[in-house]
Parts: sequence; C-alpha cells; structure tokens
Amino acid sequence: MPKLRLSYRIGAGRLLACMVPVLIAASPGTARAATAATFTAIANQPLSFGTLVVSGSGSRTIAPDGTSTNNGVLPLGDSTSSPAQFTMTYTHASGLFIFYLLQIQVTMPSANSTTVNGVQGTVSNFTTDLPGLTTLQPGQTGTITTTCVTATCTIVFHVGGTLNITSGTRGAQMVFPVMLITSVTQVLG
Amino acid sequence: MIARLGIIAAVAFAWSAPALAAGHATAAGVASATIVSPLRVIALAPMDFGDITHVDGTSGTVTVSPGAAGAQFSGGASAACSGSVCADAHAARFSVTGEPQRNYTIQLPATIVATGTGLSTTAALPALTVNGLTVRSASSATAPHLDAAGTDHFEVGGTITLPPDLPPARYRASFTVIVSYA
Repeated sequence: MPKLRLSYRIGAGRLLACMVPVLIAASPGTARAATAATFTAIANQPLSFGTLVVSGSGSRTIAPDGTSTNNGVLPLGDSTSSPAQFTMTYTHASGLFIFYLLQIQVTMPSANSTTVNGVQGTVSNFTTDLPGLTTLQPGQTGTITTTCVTATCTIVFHVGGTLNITSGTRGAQMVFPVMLITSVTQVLG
Repeated sequence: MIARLGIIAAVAFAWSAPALAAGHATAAGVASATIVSPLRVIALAPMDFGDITHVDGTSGTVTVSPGAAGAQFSGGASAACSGSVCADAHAARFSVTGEPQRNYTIQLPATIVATGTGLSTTAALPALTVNGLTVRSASSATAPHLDAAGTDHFEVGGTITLPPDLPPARYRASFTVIVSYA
C-alpha cells in the first residue's frame, strides 16, 4: 500500500509539469509576445448595382448573396451586379495561439447620397452576411464575435444594399463611398 | 489533489481573460451604378401605301420599303395616280432618343391587320393584312445604334395584299413598335 500511494503522487506531479508550459503560452496575461497584434480591413470588391434604366423613380436591391430585387428599374443585360466584399484580418500577438474568440465592432459612419446630371441616388438599407449583423444602417454600430483557430484570423464578408434612384433626362455614372470603420474590441483566449 | 485543483483554476483564467484590442481599421469601399436615360420613340410618319387600284378579279400586292420612296406593285395592283403624287407612298418613319452610343433593338409585330371603310358601299369589307414587315435604321441595317447625341431614326415597311374585286375603300391600321436597349 505505501508503494501504491507514492506512485500516485509522482504521477500527479508529472501531469502538473506538463501543463504549466501550455498555460503560460495560452494566457494573454502571461504571454511574452514577440510581435504586436495587427488588424486590417480592406474593400475587395465594390457594391455594383449594374446598368439601369429608370423612368421616374425606382430602386434596386442587391443582397449579400448577390441576388437582386428591382422596383421600377430595368437592369440592362450587358451589365453585372454584385455585393461588396470586405476582408478583415486579425493576427494575434503570439503565433502560438490556435484558438480564441474575436469581438469586432463594425460601423458605417454616414448615409450615401449623390446627384449626377440631375439623377438623384441614395444607397441605404445595407445588409451583410456577417453572423448576427444582417443589417447595418448609417451611423449604426454592430458587433460580431467569431472563433479563430489560427493566429491569423481572416473574415471575408459581403455587403448588399438598396439604391433608390430618381432619374432626370440624362444618364449618369454614380459612385457612392461605402466606408466601414472596424475595431477589435475584445480578444478572448 | 491540491495539484489538480490548481490546474483547473489556471485553465479557467486562461479562457476568461480578455486581451487588449489590436486597434481600428477603416475600409474604403464604393457602390456604383450606371443610369441610362430611357429610350423614347416617336412616330414621324405613317406607313402609307398611297392610292391603289387593281384589275377586277385579280389580286395584287403593294410594298413600301425602308429607305426607298414610293411603292412597288405586283399582280393586278397598280398606282391610282402618276407623277409626284404617287411618291407619297412610303414606309413608316420613327425617331429614337436615348443614351448616347448605345445599341438598341426594334421589335415589330409579325403582321398588321387593317380595317376598311367603304367609299361607295356600306357592305362589310374584308380586312387586309400587311406582312413581311422590314426595318432599317439610319445608323445600321443590322444593329441600330444611338449616335453621340443619343438619336437615331428608323423606317418600317411591309407588303399589303389586295384581294380580287375589292371595292373602293380607305383602310387604316395601327401597330406598335417596341425599342429596347440591346
């Protein structure tokens, strides 16, 4: 019996010795990062409503999955439409991390309206395919949380919207800024 | 046992401690749309076959063609006039306006049915059919195109068939042409 108890203590001690290095690496409070964390957000693809014939007024909606809905506008066949695509990339301060939760705030700062050649256009009612953030109105801030399993975590998402048009007597090439302000607010793990 | 509790507490701490945010990033994207002005088509002149006569008991045809003045006759049909008056026969004429430098298409009916009003009889008259409709635009015979000012013209012709023994009458019809951006 004494031999048996001694053997148990030795086993527990080995277990603790193995776990300590892992805990040091996994705790953000105790990690010794060789590099600082980085976060970038870029626009990969514009939100394109295509080429439209509008008599009077109308609207066209492009969903994040690329499907479209027309109301009082006629899209021409030689044009293409697509949702905007953005990519956010977060690289953890320590490359040793393989699993963490990332919390990001996404803000669209302002409404988008313009008038060209007497044609008035407004882009609004933005939608995204980010989980938990299906709509994104100008001035609104939304938060998403995503699970990352590598040190560098890449989030590719799409943004759709609705273009409302009041046409004039001439055609117009319309471009609207779509600004997204993104912030990493929390890294868990 | 004490060692085991210590391990569990350390693991829980590792998953709950938030790290500082890495910062902000702004992505400048754009939304774009090209708006083209609607097409407008205006009828400038009707399809006019002129004044026609035909040999009793013999049918005939009269054709007006885009880009050509006057009419062509076959069978028992012929012009009921001579000289400059007969030159009034012509194809229908239309003007088109829209977005400069864009192609468009012209859609015509397969046939046009005209109804007549007798000039010397109140008896019912047979309807006449205009078929073989042809179109030609000023910009192109095959691919109508709006010029730098966003304008173009086109003409529509056809052939009307006269039955034998048609009494004197005036025939009229309306037809629709549809223009669309190509």
